[in-house]
Amino acid sequence: MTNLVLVRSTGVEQTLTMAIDQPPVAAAASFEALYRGSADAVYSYVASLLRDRSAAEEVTAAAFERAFRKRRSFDPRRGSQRAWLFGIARNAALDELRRRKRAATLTDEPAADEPAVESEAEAAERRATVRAALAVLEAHDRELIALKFHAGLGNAEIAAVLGISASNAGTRVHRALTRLREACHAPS
Amino acid sequence: MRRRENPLDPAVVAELEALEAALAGDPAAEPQLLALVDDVRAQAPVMAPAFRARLDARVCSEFEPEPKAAATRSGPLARRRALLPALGFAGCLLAALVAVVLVGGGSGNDLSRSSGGGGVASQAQPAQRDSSGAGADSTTGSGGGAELAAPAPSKAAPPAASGARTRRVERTTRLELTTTDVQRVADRVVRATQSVGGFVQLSQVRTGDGNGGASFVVRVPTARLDDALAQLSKLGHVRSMEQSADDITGAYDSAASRLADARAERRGLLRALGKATTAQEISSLRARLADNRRALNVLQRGFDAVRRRADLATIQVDVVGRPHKQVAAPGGGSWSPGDAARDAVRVLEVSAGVALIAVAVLVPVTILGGAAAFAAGAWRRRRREAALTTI
Repeated sequence: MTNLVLVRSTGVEQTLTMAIDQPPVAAAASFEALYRGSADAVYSYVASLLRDRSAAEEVTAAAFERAFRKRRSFDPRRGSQRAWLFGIARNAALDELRRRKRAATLTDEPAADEPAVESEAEAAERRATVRAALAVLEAHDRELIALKFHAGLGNAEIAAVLGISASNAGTRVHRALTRLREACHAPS
Repeated sequence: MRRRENPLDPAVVAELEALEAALAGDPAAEPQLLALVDDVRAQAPVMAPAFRARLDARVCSEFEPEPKAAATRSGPLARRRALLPALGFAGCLLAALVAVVLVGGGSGNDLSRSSGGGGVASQAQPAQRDSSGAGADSTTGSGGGAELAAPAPSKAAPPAASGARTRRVERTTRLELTTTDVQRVADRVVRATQSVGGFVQLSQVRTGDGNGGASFVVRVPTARLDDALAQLSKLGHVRSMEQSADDITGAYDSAASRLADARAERRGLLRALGKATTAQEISSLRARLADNRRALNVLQRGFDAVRRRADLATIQVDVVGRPHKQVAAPGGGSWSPGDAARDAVRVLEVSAGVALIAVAVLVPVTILGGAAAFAAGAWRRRRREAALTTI
């Protein structure tokens, strides 16, 4: 067993370890492991894209079902299983967006848990700033932030999800991070 | 697909490395970036416990269709998706049909000239239709095809004046036969020609040591052209057959019209002669009648010649002798290893031809299908990306 993606951020809880050269049957057997390790990240990513909790739930379920049905078609040579799963989730989310022809606002998304310790007010203010900055980001940048910060994907995996090159993915991530910082420091 | 990798700017690389360090929770990472990572992660939407429980259950049940979901799947979207393979198949079939029609249409002239019995039957059908029409307008009984069964209309009715214009087609066929017994085939050519009511217009027979030959020009009623070709084709191995059809309707109608005019003129002259009173007038009219008779004879011969071209098809039969040992021995003779080798080569040729035709049909269909699938995929990706940009 080896770490599937060596450049993945180690600070993310949903780190998946699995064999690289898995036969299809073994890949099918490990689907539940994939689900356990990725469900939260997939939901977080889809919700960031759709900005609609109920739609995100539907799309997340649909993405996992689609991945389950197509699990035998997964080809490890084309990328990690996690990137493959996020690609499916992305397509499902974009299909949902296209179908709805609207962008739902994150009105029903509850505020993140407030910190229990440290300087409560300062942290709350900072996070409110970040939330506002995320809200004004363009969808492409928000997606990259979700893939990088929430899902913890490496640049190579992001490239596989978006269908671009790894260097292009790195450039886009850097650009999205820069815009997020600018939005955080922009006068409200 | 391998993508071209452009090296990142060193400053960008440094910032990305700093980000990775912050994401990994490295204490040595930039404090502001660490705080940003924490704050962004705190904004991550969290799955509701109830949904998590439902999703867990579905995963455990391996996504067995729920009754509600099954009902939803029978909606229009599901039906549309179910129709996709059928639509794809129909599209491929249509493309294949178009390809076949294009290929068939492009080589139509060649096919009409190719040898084989199938060509005889298909070409003979229009000949029968045209020849029946040609015989129906017979004005005199002096035609070469004496056995034409078509009824002769009255002489007063000019052929060109009939309501629906009948096409007159002159049929010519060239048939090349190979045989080991030229004399026997030559005799049978004559008999076959006579059996369909035709006659031999020209014959030339040369016999020799296996390399003799014979050449015939036979005329058969166009209505019996099919039968004649069928009989002649059985006399030897058909090496080639060429058929041509020449529409002579214009010449036929023109000759008939001129003949009718001359007859009308003759009737007018006869009437004038009956009313003539002076000797000079009678003499003049008789002279004109004599001229008219000569013109009428010429026109009648011309009309008969044109009509015979339509009524009688011309078949040129070339019989080529072959040495006996090269015969494929359809009935007699022994089947030698050489024959077997030739047959095997022939089978391989036919198989290769069939395979080539199949490839010729399948390659364009595959290319079209691949291009359509590629275009559909690109279009779908573009629409998806467009959906993301409209948020």
